[in-house]
Amino acid sequence: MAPTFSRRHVLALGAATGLAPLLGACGDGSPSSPNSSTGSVKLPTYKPVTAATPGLAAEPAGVSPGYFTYPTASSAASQPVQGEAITALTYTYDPIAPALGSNPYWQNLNSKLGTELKITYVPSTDYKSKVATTIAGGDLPDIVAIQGVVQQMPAMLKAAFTDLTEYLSGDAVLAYPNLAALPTDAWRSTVYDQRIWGIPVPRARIGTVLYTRADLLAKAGLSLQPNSWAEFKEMAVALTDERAGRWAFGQIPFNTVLEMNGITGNWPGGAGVWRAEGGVFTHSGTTPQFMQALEDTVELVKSGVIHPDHAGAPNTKRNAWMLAGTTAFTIGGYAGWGKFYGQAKDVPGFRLTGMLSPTRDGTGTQVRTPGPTLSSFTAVAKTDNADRIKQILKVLDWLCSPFGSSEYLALRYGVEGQTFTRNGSDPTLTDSGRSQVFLPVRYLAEASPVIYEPGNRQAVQDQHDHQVVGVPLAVADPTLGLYSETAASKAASEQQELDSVLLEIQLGNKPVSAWQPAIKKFMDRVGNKVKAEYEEQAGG
Amino acid sequence: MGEPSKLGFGARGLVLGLGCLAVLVPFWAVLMTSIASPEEINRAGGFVLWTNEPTLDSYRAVLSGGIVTRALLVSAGITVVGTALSLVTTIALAYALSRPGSLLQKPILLMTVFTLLFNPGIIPMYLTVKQLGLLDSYLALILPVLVNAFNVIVMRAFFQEIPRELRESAYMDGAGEMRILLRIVLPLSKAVVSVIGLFYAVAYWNAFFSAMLYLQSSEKWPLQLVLRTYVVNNTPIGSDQLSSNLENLPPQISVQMAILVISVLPILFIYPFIQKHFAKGLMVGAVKG
Amino acid sequence: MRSLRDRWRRDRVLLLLALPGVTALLLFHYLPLGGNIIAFQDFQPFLGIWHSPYVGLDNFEPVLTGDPVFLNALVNTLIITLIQVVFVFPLPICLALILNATISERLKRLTQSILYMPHFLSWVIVVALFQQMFGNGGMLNAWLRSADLSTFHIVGVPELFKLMITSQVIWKDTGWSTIIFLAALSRVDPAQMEAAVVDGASAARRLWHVTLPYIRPVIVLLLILRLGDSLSVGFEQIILQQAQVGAGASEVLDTYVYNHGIVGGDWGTAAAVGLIKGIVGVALVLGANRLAHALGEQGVYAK
Repeated sequence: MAPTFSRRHVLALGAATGLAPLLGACGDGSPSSPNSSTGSVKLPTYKPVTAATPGLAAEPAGVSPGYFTYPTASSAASQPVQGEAITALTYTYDPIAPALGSNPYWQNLNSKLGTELKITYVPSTDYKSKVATTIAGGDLPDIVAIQGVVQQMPAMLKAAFTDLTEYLSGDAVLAYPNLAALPTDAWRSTVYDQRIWGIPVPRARIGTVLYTRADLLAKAGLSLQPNSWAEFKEMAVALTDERAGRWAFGQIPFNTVLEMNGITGNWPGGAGVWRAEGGVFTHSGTTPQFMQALEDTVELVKSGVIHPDHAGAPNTKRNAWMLAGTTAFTIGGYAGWGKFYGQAKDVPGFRLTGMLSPTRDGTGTQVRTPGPTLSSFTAVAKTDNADRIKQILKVLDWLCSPFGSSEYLALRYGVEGQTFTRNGSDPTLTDSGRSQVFLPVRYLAEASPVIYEPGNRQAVQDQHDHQVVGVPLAVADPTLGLYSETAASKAASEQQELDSVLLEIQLGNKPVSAWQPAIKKFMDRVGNKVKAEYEEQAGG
Repeated sequence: MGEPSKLGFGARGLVLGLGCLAVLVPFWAVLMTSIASPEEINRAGGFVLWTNEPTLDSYRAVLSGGIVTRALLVSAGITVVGTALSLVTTIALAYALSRPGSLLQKPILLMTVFTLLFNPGIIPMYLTVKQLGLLDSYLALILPVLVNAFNVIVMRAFFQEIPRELRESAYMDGAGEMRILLRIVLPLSKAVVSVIGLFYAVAYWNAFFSAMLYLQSSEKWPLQLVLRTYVVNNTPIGSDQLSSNLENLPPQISVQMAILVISVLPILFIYPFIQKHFAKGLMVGAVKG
Repeated sequence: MRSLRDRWRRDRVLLLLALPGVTALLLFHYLPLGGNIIAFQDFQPFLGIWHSPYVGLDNFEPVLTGDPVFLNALVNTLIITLIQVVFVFPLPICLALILNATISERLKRLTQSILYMPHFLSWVIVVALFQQMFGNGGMLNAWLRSADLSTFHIVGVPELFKLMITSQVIWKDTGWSTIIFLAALSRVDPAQMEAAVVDGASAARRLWHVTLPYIRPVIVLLLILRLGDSLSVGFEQIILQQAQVGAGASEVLDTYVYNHGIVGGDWGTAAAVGLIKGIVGVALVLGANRLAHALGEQGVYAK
């Protein structure tokens, strides 16, 4: 049996038979075994670094370490990287930062780094257009954040960017210790046509969270963790009081209902919907469990437990509802968890926890859709200059310095006394510092996430608890590291149609039975081709 | 019979009154939300209509660091220079097209109209701007939108409504086209020139996409692009987003409304200056005087 | 007919005046317009216009084969255009006439400045405000609910979607669109009006015979240009509210291009639909202009 077979297929089998939690543990961070998806390329050797001992330990399955306070001792500063300035293009989810001239944080970063970073960035929503025009214009900066998968991705990378395999594959990465500490699964998403094309900006494995106002549930005398579909419904009804303007949910918790029915995947968009068993790929939308989940969802919507303006509401609105207690839940990426505490400063008794999806009948193994392994990866524009490539990798390595190191302090907080002050050992940004650190270096490269909520032990504990129970439930996505041209091109439009049918079923505009013809059309037009492409790569 | 009827008067008053109310209430909500305390906003879960604890925190958050102030100046500069250049070019083109039967008049006119119907894609636009060496220059925000065909057509229509005899007789008296344009046509066209000027000014003021595409350095960004990073960004608490930076910002909606006030106020102030050109009988007065 | 030479001598100043504007249009519209060749390509930014492979009419497939999703978008677009031409287009004219008839100049200016404000709100804000007021869980319904009265539903009802977006357009842009008519009305000769009053003409007759002739050319012109734009309706407004009712009631051509072209990086499809929209637009403008001539109007260009 080829090594490529063993892990992937056992994993897939595990997912189907409920063994996933046991086997999932070898997914993240473990030394990489060459697998089918990445073919002959050896993924970078994984070697964790820690600058400080966490209060709550990391776990190999992908649980982030938790820190109650910022470590006082900082590791010795690494050598600055001498060399020419580096130009970069990236996106941001934050407001704009002051320009270099009036940004001591940036100046400090450049001087510690020894290399000047010149960053061009645009709002995340506009990034796609910016990259497309920049690539079409042929004037790429030295490094570019690549977000999402575009059509003909392998050819595009080959045409415009540098193959980094020889610098990063296997033990070669150990020359860059902080890059070697990035999780293996994140590297997997940087591989196309068996070459490594960039440095991943990793994300926590835990993924999407059903954020729960624990204080509201406690007040209503409800358990923080329902154990079956029936209990889940009861809880939702108990939290709803239409006359008082209170509902359980601000959006349809469709992915939760899917997980209760034993399937994973993110809708709309359909990320992570493929399952693999014995080399055969199945779209979860074609399964009877999906139909069951649809019926359950429609039942939930009909019972009136969802805010009447849920459809089409922006996430800010949904989050505001949860903060106002209008709803008890909101759904969002794990990385947003910490932000809620700041926004809820004035909400008395506010406590946020994450709810897991129980199984439908309360028995058997729970499942969970893992998060995307990375936010983007940073590729190097095409060059043959090996010294330049090494310089760039050293800079990116520096940017990935771990929590607790002096570099991390410079990256996240800047200059003590100027952009941040200490509250005990915890750094606190000053007013001017807060806008300066908006410089989006973190969307070029950063270390694996940690849990750190200064001055809020409960929050660190709650997040870590959620990860400890949630991460092992994650069912690995069998398409990770595989590339399907059909999925990247033709399928996008068909997926929109599928999402649109799904939405209308959920809203009650269409009957549940409308799903079967829609998914059949999807499979006929693109789905079966995607399936064949994945199967070929996974088998090959 | 000549006096306006009471009924008509009342009906008109009612329509205008209700219209103003329908505008003022939401604007009031915008203003109140921008100065409401986080607690009040959390309680309301959105807009508030009244605040007991007004705070300027949101304005402070947006205006701190001087980025917005700088961007305001950039936007004002682009708007003033751009509007001036656009007006001159548009007036010239509209006037050139305003005499039926002049040489090439119809082909140029059709060519102008068709630009309204076909849009070049963003990539060809980008390549053009790059080829002309305009990347990272403020001119990239002006030249591509220098002439708007809609504005040319409207202005031309107004020029054509000027009694033809006026132009003819001036021509007979030996006045050149430039003289006719400057001495006769423009003085009679204050209303339309100010309206088209307003159209251009608003377009320059609101533009952000071209700045996003063509400007590399963020210190050159105009106001709307800067403000966009506060509004479209960190809207979804997405899986890609990290948190610690934003912890202490005022509530999102209140920041959004503060931004709205900051970006709308300056352009609202232009209007009264334009209004005076709408006074009745202005043109006739000019003809006689 | 004058000789070309005479015409050149007579019109060269006009041509010179046209030169800057024409140059700008050529450089920034017609030159990049050549890029629309990608409508016939499988365009990839990294290959560029020169190296992307040609695919014939592949990008026009949904249009040529009458894909139901495309047809649905087309029908929705046309219905919305029809509604807006009938209900939205005349409103600013009426408002301009009402304002024009207002006696107090001060009151008139004040009202005008208030009514034009909503134009400056982005659609994101307008939609958020609308939801907050009239949403199913909005202020009005919350009040009705607490008073045990029956609630009303506008948002999220597919049948009402087109009317809902129309009412939002009316709120946002009526005041703004008024100003062009106000500019036209400023040319009405007060002496002529006084004469009509002296003659004992009724208000309606004065409106028809004195006021209207001043704004009719502008009305016709704007109507023709609006018709040329028939296939574009409020992209941003609709995409923001699409999830309330689903694509069935809300998909229009521009959102179709976005959902089926831009999102998947299908630049060719987007360019193809753009080309079709342009051709239809040209046909509509030329047709409407001819109609205007038949009715004795100038239209966009003279005969």
